[in-house]
Amino acid sequence: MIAERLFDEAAIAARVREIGGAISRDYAGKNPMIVGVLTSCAVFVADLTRAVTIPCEFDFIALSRYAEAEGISFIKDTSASIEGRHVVLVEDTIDTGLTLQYIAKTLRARQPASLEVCTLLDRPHRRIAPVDVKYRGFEVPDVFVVGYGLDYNGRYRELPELYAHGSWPA
Amino acid sequence: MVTRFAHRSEAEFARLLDFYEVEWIYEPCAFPIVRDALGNAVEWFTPDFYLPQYDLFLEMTVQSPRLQSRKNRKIRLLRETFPDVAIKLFTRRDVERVFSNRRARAS
Repeated sequence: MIAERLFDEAAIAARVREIGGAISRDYAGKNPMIVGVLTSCAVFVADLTRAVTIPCEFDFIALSRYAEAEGISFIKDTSASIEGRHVVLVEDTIDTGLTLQYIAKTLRARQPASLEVCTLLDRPHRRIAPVDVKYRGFEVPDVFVVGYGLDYNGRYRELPELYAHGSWPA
Repeated sequence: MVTRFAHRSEAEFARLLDFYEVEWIYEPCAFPIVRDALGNAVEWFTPDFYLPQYDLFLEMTVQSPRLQSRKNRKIRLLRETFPDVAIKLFTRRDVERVFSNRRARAS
């Protein structure tokens, strides 16, 4: 049950344009590689890469899930090497920062020229692992967010806006 | 060595940290948070976890609001007595939502 709209299409589009503009300025002449963490960030990455006005590439990684694996690992890796590349890692949401610290540690070991973090949503009050977020879409309250690629057991990804779900999954 | 956790949620949280390859120490030390007029420690506080990687202590409350207010007091005293010690309180709701988020996202 969807309870409340948090951000409408216009607000999301405006923020994505701002972030795309910032990335375009920061990475001019660097052909950055935008790496999204599947699956919830896919819509954001699709919009973000089109808001970037300089040449860039994009790729995706996917991770094992806590509920289904003994330990975290990449179940899908980047198609191209990131060595020597300027990488912008894109997440849908950062809360504890535990997922991101694992990804960042793994990717840094591959010696990219630089690695920065971009997230659509941020819940800094639950942070455990310190994370430097260079590009942040929206800070969100303590609600379960769906829409714009974010799901609740696979549902609601197709919604064009971001909503607070009425409850947290049991 | 098998760690004996005081609460099931602490064990589950430790598994979560293991999953993410984050080193943890359970109840690593006790901090004297109240002293008497002679300087003797009369009250101690033992945080649940220490994460050496982040130099961060974690305290988890999965208890009633009354017991939680006791923990809040202890954390306040710890911060006043040891301002350089970083500690984060995870409430029952925080813990549930961290796990909830990881269960409900299809990927």
